[in-house]
Amino acid sequence: MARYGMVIDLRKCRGCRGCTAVCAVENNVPVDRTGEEAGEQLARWAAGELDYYNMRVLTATVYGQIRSIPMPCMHCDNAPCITVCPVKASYKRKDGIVAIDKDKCIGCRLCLKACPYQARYIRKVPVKGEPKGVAGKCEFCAHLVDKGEKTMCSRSCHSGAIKFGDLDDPNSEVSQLLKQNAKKVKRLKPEYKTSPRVYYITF
Amino acid sequence: MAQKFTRRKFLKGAGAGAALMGLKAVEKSRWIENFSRDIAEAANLPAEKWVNSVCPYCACGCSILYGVRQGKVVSVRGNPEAWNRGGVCIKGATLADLYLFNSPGVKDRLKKPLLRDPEKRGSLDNFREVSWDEALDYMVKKVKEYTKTKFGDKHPFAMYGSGQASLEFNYLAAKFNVIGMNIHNDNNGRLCQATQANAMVISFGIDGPPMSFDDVFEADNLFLFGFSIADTLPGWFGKLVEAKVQKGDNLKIAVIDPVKISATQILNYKAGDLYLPIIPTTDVAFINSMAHVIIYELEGVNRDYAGDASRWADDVISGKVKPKHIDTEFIAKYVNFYRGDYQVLARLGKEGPKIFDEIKLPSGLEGFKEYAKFLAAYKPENVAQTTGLTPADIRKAAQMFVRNKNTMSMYLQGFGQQSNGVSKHLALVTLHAVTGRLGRAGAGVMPSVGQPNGLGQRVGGAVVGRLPGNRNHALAAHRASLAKALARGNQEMEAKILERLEDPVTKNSRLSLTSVDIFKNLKNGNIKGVWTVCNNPMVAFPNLNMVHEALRKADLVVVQDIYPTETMAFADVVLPAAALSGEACGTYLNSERRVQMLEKAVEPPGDALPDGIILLAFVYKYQKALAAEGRQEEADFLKFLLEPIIQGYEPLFENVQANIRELREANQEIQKRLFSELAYVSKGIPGNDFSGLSYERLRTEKDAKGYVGFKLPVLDSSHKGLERLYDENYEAVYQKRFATPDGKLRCFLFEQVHPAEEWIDAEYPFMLTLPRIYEHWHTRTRTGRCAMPHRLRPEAWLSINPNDAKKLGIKDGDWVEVESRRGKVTVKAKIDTVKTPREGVVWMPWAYGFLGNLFTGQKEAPPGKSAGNVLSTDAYDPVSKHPELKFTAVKIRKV
Repeated sequence: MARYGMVIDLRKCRGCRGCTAVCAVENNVPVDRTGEEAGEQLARWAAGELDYYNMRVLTATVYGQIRSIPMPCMHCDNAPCITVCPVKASYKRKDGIVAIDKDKCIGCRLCLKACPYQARYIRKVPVKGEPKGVAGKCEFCAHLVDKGEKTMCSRSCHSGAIKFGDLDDPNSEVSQLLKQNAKKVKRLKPEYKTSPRVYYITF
Repeated sequence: MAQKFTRRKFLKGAGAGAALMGLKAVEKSRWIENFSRDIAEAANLPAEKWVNSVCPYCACGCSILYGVRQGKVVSVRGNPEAWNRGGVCIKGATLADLYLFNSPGVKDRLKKPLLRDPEKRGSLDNFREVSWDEALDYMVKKVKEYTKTKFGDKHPFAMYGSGQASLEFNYLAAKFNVIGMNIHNDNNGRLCQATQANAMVISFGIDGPPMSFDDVFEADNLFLFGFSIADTLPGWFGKLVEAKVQKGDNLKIAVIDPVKISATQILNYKAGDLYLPIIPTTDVAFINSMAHVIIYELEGVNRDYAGDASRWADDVISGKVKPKHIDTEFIAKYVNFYRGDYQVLARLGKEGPKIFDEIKLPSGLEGFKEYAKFLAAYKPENVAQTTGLTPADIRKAAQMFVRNKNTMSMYLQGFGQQSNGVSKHLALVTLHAVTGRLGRAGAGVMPSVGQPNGLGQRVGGAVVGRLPGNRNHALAAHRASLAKALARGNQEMEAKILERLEDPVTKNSRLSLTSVDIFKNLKNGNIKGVWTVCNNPMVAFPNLNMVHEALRKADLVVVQDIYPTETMAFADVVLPAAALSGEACGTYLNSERRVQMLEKAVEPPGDALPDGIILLAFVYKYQKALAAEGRQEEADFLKFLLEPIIQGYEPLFENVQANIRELREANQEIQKRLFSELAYVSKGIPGNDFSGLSYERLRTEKDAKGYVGFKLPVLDSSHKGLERLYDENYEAVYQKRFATPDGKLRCFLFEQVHPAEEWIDAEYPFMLTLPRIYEHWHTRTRTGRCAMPHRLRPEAWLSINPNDAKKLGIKDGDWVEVESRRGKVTVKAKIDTVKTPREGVVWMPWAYGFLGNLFTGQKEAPPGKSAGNVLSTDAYDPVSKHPELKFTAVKIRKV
């Protein structure tokens, strides 16, 4: 069974937010693009009212230069969001993708608090008939992965900073990248011992 | 316990928090084999088909796929089989927003032709919906009166076209406006790449960006002159970032820009990358000073010859000295030298290349001797004050320039949009040529393009000075070959076509007015009316107060667009167009000369028609009206030109309104005919010949790298295009290294020329530049209706250096009034610590017009409270007529 993960080369990321934008289109965040209220929701988004994304890009200025970090869900092996979920709506798939069963989710926000990466949010607009107010997060484009495709963000990155693949396969692009840049590879917030599956190649 | 706790109960809310406190931690990690239903459907309704197209924004020309379901666009993705390898930026990705149910992108679309009384101009109201035929007949009635008189070489009516329209439309504009109807015709490319096109014609002999995007991987040193590549061409910047990571410090980058543009993010100053905050308009002094350092200091003229470059050059010619950095072989073989003289060069368009004889210097190394002597005055210490750079920085830049063999320079509007832009290009090419850093993979000068079809409007021939096939209008041989190609063996018609292009007595070119002059003469009443296509001069044009007056004064203003624009507020006739990207088919040429196909994905809304069909319908009706009025000769001429394009479809044009669906269908075939006609016409034009291309090849074949689209020139049906121009492969094809008559590069000795009209003084102490921003495309017509770009950049601002802000007592977020000699705007100040302008320079985006917030509909009074172009000057470069949008003297006051 594949064990999916992501390698993000921060040297190549220039904070263009292309990944956020393509993800928003692909995964209906924050607007329910299929619904009849799409236009109204779009206006709320434009006004800054709906402000949550699966893929966020954090930026910081270091010595006058912008450094950007794309932040999807880390799909931790030891995911606190799964641990705290009172209704077992959060779960881990066999391929390692952390997902939410929207039918079970009660919108209690515990996972939002538990996640050290703030990868989760509560959906202010329901998508495609799901219940109101459920939690949302990056699911590694599971609908594409199941078809053998890659996540939208990794397919659309202009500089090829985001790579997605099977960490168990030593020949996959991601495994090779990790091997070649072993000294530069870091994971976020190791002190939480969550063992994330998103690796960063740093400067 | 957790199971009993249902969602509904929880959301009812009472005591929920307390209940949660009692929850026990559930098992640590769970593995569930079959994931839940809603993940599979989390995405959009899946697309039924993916249709190939090209992003309608910048000149990267990223190939995109429109996801279509039940006749509607539901998604947009990057095309993995194109040069962009699936990459899209936020502008391209959010194109999908424009098709959402009830979104501004759907609600605001222009769906019916509109007409109103010219008295009622000034707002978007008071239009009445009419049929296509009524709108076109109204125009025909007016235009046929205008064409009874002349202003300049043409009739006093003008089309102001666009680099966003298709290659085919631009060819149509050239064929029917410039030749057929003989009216004035220029494009918004005048504001964008006129300097690049003219300067390339002067130095290389023909227009066409010579390098390719991938050249950044071959370069050792990269000089970015006035080119905010990260914001304006993000796709190409992606490649540059990759090259920088791949090559590490083996790729050195120098950014020469008054603003610390986003591209400086990738510089590694410790490894020797340079950011040089130059004073706007002074690049020639800087370039010449680099050349001075290379010759006088690095080659040792100061040391060994006591600064006498003449003696040193003699020794170089005689072979006594072998220079380290100067490529004597290249100079001797490929270079002619000329004196840089704006007055003489400005006559090129009208009089043709004979003007070069007036300023010719000795060729080859003898000419180089003149250049070396000429540079004596450009000691870094002498230009430090002019350029605002320290001598040490200039020396470092010069050392970087000659480090290793491959130095590549690229520029965009920092050169283009200044009234001495052409001289900058020519000075830079000279430096590249004498050091032999030109015409190789990774070495050369790359004048970039801004618009998605910026190059296509030149190849199509819709820009003044260019003719179909990217011919030089000024070249008699090019005019003659065009007339021959269009005449199809009819000699009478050939003579007539030629007569439209040149004066039979003097043999001077007959040229249309250029953009700025069109609007100035509209204001003076010399030009009666204007027809803008895919264009919004009321935001994008320099000196908006002038444009405002011109549009109010005009007798007829026609706006052809997909959304209401600021310009539409002054229109009498509004023609609803189909968006080329998504709703029609055609081709675009990107900045690396790549022709790519755009396929129709969905039907346009309402009665909207593709651009080309609208122009053809007008020409058809105009031609009929002329015939009815007894102007048979003009009518016959138009009929002759129309024939090969609309043959078989004539009845559809008789009643446009009744045949909308059929005309949209016919557009597919008509575009194809236009493309093959232009391909045929382009035959033999160096670097721009695509006679080997057809829609079939674009649809089914891939180029040598396996990407969709082909790079010009494509010489025959098996040729896959050339990677770059003016290298050895090019020489092998054309038996000439450059496209000039003798195959030699024209190099100029240009002094630093002062900007045309204005400079800073005690009253207007700040220099304003108006750059493009990443989040919005041009005048926001589309991106302003997309949520994410709007959310990121909802309104205009003024970026100011922290030190200047302190001096003026301005804090971040304060409202400031910015005033130039032409007008004033009020915007929020931003103390910019990221894209910081140098002290004395401020910048603001020009994308914002008086339509204000396109989501809430909050408007301002024209010309707009925060429209940057209210401030800018319509002074232009004497050679390229490219207006000076990147330099304005302003004063700033806190309000």
